[in-house]
Amino acid sequence: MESEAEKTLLRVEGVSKRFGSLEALKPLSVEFHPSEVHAVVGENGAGKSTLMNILGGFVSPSTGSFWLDGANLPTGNPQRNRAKGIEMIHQHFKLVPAFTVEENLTLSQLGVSKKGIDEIKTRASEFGWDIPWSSRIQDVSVGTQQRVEILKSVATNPHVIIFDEPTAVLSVAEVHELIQFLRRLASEGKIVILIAHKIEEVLSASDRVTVLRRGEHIGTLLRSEVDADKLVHMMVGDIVPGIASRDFEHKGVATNLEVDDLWIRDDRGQEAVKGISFSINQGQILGIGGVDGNGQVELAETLAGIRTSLKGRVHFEGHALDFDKTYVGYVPQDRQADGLAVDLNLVDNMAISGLVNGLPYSPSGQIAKAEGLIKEFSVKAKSPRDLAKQLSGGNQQKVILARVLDQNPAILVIVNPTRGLDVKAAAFVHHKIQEAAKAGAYVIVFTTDRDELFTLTNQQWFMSRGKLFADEKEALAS
Amino acid sequence: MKQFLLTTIFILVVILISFLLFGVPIVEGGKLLVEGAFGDKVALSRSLVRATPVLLTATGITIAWRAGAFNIGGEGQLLVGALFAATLGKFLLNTNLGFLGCLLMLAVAALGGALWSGLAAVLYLKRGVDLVISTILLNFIGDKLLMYFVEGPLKKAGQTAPLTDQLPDALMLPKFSRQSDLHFGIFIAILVTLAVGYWLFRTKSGYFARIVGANPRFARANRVDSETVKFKAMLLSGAVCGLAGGIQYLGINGQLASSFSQQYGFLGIPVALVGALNPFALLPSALLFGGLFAATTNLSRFGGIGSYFVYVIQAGTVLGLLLFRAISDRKVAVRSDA
Repeated sequence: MESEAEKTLLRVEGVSKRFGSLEALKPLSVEFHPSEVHAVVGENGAGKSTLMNILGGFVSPSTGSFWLDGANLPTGNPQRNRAKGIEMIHQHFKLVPAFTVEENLTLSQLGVSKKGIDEIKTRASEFGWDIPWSSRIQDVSVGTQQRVEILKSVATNPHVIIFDEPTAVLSVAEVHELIQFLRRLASEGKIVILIAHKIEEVLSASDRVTVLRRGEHIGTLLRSEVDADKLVHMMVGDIVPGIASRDFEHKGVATNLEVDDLWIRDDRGQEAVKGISFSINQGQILGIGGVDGNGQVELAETLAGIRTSLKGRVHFEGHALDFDKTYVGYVPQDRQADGLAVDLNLVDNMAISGLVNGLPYSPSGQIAKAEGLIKEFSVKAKSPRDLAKQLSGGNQQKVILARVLDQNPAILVIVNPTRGLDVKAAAFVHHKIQEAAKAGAYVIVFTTDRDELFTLTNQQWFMSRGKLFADEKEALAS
Repeated sequence: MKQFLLTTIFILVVILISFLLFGVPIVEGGKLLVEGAFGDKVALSRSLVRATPVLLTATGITIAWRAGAFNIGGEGQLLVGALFAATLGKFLLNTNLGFLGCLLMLAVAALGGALWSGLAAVLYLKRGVDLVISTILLNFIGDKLLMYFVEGPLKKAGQTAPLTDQLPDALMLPKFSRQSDLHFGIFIAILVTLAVGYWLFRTKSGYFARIVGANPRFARANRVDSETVKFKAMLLSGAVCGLAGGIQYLGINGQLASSFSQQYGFLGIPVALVGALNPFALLPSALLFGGLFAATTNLSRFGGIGSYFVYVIQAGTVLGLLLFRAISDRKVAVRSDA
């Protein structure tokens, strides 16, 4: 016999997702209960977003089904899921910046619900929110934008609300208010699903926690059954010891790269890096881990000489680092947006590093060079005249690494060196990076992959909210 | 090459449709077009004369667009270039500098064009003013500026018609024969186009222009300053368009009228597009449009259709090209979705 509570369950049964050769989510079964905040936690790439996108209908699962109110739900159809009462609040807001708050809300309700804007306003005042209805979205704070996003969803009075990393963009005070709000929604009998990676927030907001790691369901526990230590251990698994630091022949001069109290702004003018200091010796690989979007890109860009710092200094072998004299090899995070000119051929894409490093322009030399590097790095391309966009992600990454390493850079800054690469290609890339370090480069690797962090680098830091932490737990809790 | 062939076929189709629309007999009209463009020496030289300024403005446009700077101001730059040349011309009237004077005038024409595009480039660099908008508007200002000078300071003394002084032959670009207008400018235009082709594909600064145009973020990640590259490309682009104005002034009449403009600056855009922004492909492209320009004048005997026909073709070609691109982009997008 089914109880009332069981009827309103959201049940996930054997759902999995495979993208090509990558198993993003292994078969998993979970129950989400009404009147509860259910947190889904894990590191980057754990499969949280995949699971939520399946629930929201944005992605079709490879296997499995899910049930709401005892009825089978369709998959891969966001409109149908909305109609069934499942709403998703995305990490990146779906708002029109030039429209007012009211216009955005009206737009969102078109074809979904006939409820007027007045009802939404009533709802907002119930929540105790003071919303500037006639201001443009681009002029209101991020916290307010999020509330508008939430109002869009609750207007349809959904049964399930999924929050995708809602705290990432909020200030501390706003986070606190949001947690109160999540509890309130749960107290109204709704199923609230919170995707998160900050331990502290998870512990204070949720009734139940599901932990994912590398696409695997590690467990689902009640809040009372976990503490911070246990959660971190579930999220990251056993820590692999790092490789031994190599001794490098000292040249009699200071052979280190020293970063001292570096402050950097992001594109929006917010401080993204807040007083970072570290130092590495020649031949060492420094690893910076942590969740994406905590200032890693800004720090990497400053170290690569393409973003100015607000404050602080970078000293290299005893002098302020001069990018015109010292070539810094940079492998950016977004290989298609920053790493390549995808509409140009491989020759043009590979020539850039040498040309920026002062080589003269030589069409025949560049073709020969591209041919050589394609062979050396076993890039799968028919000809150096292939356009960069014709290559797979892994081969594109090899193209970037090849041209950078070919310059024997004194300093190497690499963001997510092996993301999207198969095991063999990743091992090859690791080997090449270690070779460069052995040859005397100062290497800084940013990676969201913990295994990579601990197997590739000599020294590990974790970045969170613009700061470095020696301890991973501390970073997650910050 | 494929694009060039496709557009040529497309142009033929546009011509065919226009003939049907305007009631031009197809065979006779087609014969007139071909004869008018390439039928005999006179026709051919007329086509080349038309192709000369168009080749240069297309080359100018190519420089800027390749670097991602969307210069639509070739017309204005051409007019200001001609104006600069004519201004210097007024002072050179009573000297006997000969060919040196001609070269000097060509140099200031390029300078004038660069100044005009530089204005837009400075606005872009300092204030972020969109290049498309500013260069379009500078076309109108350039046009009125020319009109003002021709009717004012540069008007030939003791004359009512808005015309500048007539330059003596010695100061003008040499002509090949008395029977035709074909002048030395064609060589300059071809030379400049080839030089730009060399710059774009065989030099470092041309390479940087190409990567900035292809992906400014890629340029930035490699410490290449896109803004400086775009700025320089705008100046060079304006200089070449200005040179087109100077050549037109010194090659044809040696005299400016307020009706000097034949919209060669605008025509440079479809010529550049049909040539796929490749300087070497601009040569046949310019010849094609020069030929059309020359030939369509012949068609006026059929009434409504006349020299304006070339503008119909021009617009039709650009639209067709955009359609072609949209379709091929769609194909790529669909393929990468799968």
